[in-house]
Amino acid sequence: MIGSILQSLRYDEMFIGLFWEFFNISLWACMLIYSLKTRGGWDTLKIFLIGMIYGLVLENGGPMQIPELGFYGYFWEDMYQIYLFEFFGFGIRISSVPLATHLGWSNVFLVCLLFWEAIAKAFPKIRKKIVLGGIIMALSGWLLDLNLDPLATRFKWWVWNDNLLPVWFGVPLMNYVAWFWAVGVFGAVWVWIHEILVPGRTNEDKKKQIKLLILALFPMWITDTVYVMTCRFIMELAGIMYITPYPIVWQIWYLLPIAGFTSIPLYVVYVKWLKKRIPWPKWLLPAVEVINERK
Amino acid sequence: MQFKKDFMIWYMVLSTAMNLGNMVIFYNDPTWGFAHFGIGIILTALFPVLWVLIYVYCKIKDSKNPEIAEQKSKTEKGDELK
Repeated sequence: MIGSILQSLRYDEMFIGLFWEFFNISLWACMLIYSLKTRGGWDTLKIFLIGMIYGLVLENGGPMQIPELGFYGYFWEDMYQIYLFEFFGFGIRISSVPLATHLGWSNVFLVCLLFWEAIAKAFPKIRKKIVLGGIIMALSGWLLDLNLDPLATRFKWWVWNDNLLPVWFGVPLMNYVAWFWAVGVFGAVWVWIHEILVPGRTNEDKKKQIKLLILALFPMWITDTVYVMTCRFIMELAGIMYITPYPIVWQIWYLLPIAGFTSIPLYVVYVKWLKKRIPWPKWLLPAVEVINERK
Repeated sequence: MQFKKDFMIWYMVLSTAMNLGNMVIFYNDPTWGFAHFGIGIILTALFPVLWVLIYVYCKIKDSKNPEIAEQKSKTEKGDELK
C-alpha cells in the first residue's frame, strides 16, 4: 500500500527534488538540535556555521562552467526552491547549489566527527594523529555517501556531467575523490586544532578553537582544491575520468596544483613576510598567539 | 550502553532503511528504477551498516574501559555553554 501511495506521488523530477529539499532541511534542523543538546553552543557553531561555509565554497566549485578554460562543470542542481538568496523564484541567487545541499554539509561533518570521536575514545592512542583523524573522517564520509549518491543520482537530485565516467551505480569516481578530500581536510584540521593546538574544553578554549578554524578556512579551501585537482589530473592520465577524450591543451591547468606543492617553502616565507607588515585583527589575536606559543 | 537513545544510530539506520526502501519500491520503474544496475544495488546499504557496526563496537569498547569512562564523565562537565 505504501508502495502504491509513493508510486502515485512520483510525478516528475521537480516533485522528487522538492521531497529531498525539504526532507534535508528538516533533517538539518534535527541534527542542529541534537548537536546543541549534546555538544553545546560553541561546538555547534563550529560544525554548523564554519563547517557549512567551508562546504558552501567547495560545493560551488562543482557547477562552475568556464568552457574556454576547460571547466565544463561536474554536476548541476537547478530545480530547487530555496537558494542563497533566492526563495521560490524571488531574490538574487548567489549560489548555484540549493540551501538544502549546503546545510547537508553540516550533517555530514557531524556524522564524520562523531565517528572519529567514537574510534578515538575506544583507541585513545590515535587521538592526536592528525592524518589518521582526517582519513577516518573521510572514510566515514564514504560509508555514508556510497549509499546516498546512487539514489540521489538516479532520482536526479543532482545531475552529473554526462562525460564523467560513472563507476559506482551511475556515480562518477570524481564524486568520491571530492568527498574524500573535502571531509578529510576538514577532519585533519579539526584534530590538529582540538587535540594539539588547543586541547582544552573551557569556553575560552572553545573561542580560540573557533578563531583558529576561521583562520584555517582559506588554507583548507586551497589544500582541498590542490588535492582534488591533482587527483583529477592523475585520473585523466590514467583514463578513468572522462568517457570522451579531454583536450590535452587544457591540462596545462593541472600544472598549477603541482606548482602549488613545490612552492610550499615559498608560501611559508611569504606568510612570514606578510605577518610582519599586516597586523592581525584584534579578535583573531588569541588564535595567532596559540600558533606562536606552539612554535 | 544505551544504544536506544543514541540519535546517530537511529539516524544512520533510518536513513539507510529509507534509501534502501526507495531503491526497492522504484526497482522496476523505467524512470527512477535501479533494475538496470541489477540486484547488486542492495550492496550499497552495507556501507552505512558498517558505519553503525564500527560505531557500536567502539562505544562498547569505550564503555568497558573504566579509566576512559571516568575521564569522559569529568571532561563532559566542562561544556559550560550547554
